[in-house]
Amino acid sequence: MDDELIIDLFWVRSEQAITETDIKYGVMCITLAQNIVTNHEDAEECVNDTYLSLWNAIPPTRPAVFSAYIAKIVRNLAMKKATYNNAQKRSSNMTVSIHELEGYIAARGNPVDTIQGQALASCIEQFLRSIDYESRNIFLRRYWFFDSISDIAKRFAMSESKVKSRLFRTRNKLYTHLMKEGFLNVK
Amino acid sequence: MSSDWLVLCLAHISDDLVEEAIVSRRTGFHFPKLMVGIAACISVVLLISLTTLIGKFNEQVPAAPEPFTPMTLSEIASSKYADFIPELEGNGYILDVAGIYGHASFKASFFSESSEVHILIEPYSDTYHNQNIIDMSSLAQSSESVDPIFLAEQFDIECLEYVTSQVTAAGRIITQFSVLKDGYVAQYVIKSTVQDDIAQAIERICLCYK
Repeated sequence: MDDELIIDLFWVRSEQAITETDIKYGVMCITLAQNIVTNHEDAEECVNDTYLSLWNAIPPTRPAVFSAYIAKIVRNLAMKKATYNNAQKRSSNMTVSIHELEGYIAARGNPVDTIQGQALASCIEQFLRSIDYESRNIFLRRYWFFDSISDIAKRFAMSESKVKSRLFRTRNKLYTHLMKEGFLNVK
Repeated sequence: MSSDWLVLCLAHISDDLVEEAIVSRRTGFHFPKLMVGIAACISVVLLISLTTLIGKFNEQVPAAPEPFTPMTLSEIASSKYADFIPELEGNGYILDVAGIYGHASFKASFFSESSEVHILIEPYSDTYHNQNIIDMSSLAQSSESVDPIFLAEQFDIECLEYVTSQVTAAGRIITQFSVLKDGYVAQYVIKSTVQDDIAQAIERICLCYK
């Protein structure tokens, strides 16, 4: 079903909206949640919470890009859950991805204290828009969706080593970009 | 500080980028797979071409040699093979003649060692090339009359025709063999000792062709 029709169902308070959302985006949601949290039960809980959030938010909200809207909700909820899980020493794809970034960017510089988080986000977005389609989406699949290297390799029909190589180069470019824009203080 | 800040910042990227990442997939050909596909196609085409070529090659039946048409030296001299007429070079007679009669080709080597002259005519055609080249000079050196049956056995020749052996006017012996195989003159061995006999010997060869 078209996203607009699903949103219309939310607006008329039809429970069919949840069913249609699950049909269309259920797999994406559970995959994203499971990449962040440690077990399937937690992931399902995040997805159910996401549907509840959608139900509460629409209306009055009318998301322009429904898929991104859902993904962001799942991601936020799953990361909250992951924060709790990390406190209990559990690991996930997300923590692995974060460690990759620590090794190449955070370990080499910290964001300056005075900057606004939104400005840094804009700088990162500007960087992502400046690189090629494939590098951008591999980067986002890894650090936004926290996909595993093997999943990304399958998605983009390339070898895992090539994915790693592409991520390595993108991380270095991002580091250079952030340095150039003055968002990082060299340690 | 950990890199959580970066992950958190990524949370704020625009919806269109997130949407693009959701639907992102490689749409084009996977280059290595494409290369494998192209290589496979080329291999198939080459295989088909090779098979066709081999088929055509096998279909080509070797043309049957035309009947040997003898020519005399004088006929050769007036033909396009005139350049191949042997010439005598002083006291050392190292001469070559080669020609083609129909499908039957021959190569004759005239050479002299001390007082002996050997004339070898080695036939080679599409069919007989490298099959019936026989060096009989060693035999000729010691034989004034060589048993053709012996030669046949010696060189595994199917049919050996003894032509003549005669004494020249100068008292020299010319032993002449016509070695035939499937109707083709294969080889002559002529033994002589004087220069005059060479011309005579050559003439004889030609006569024998008749």
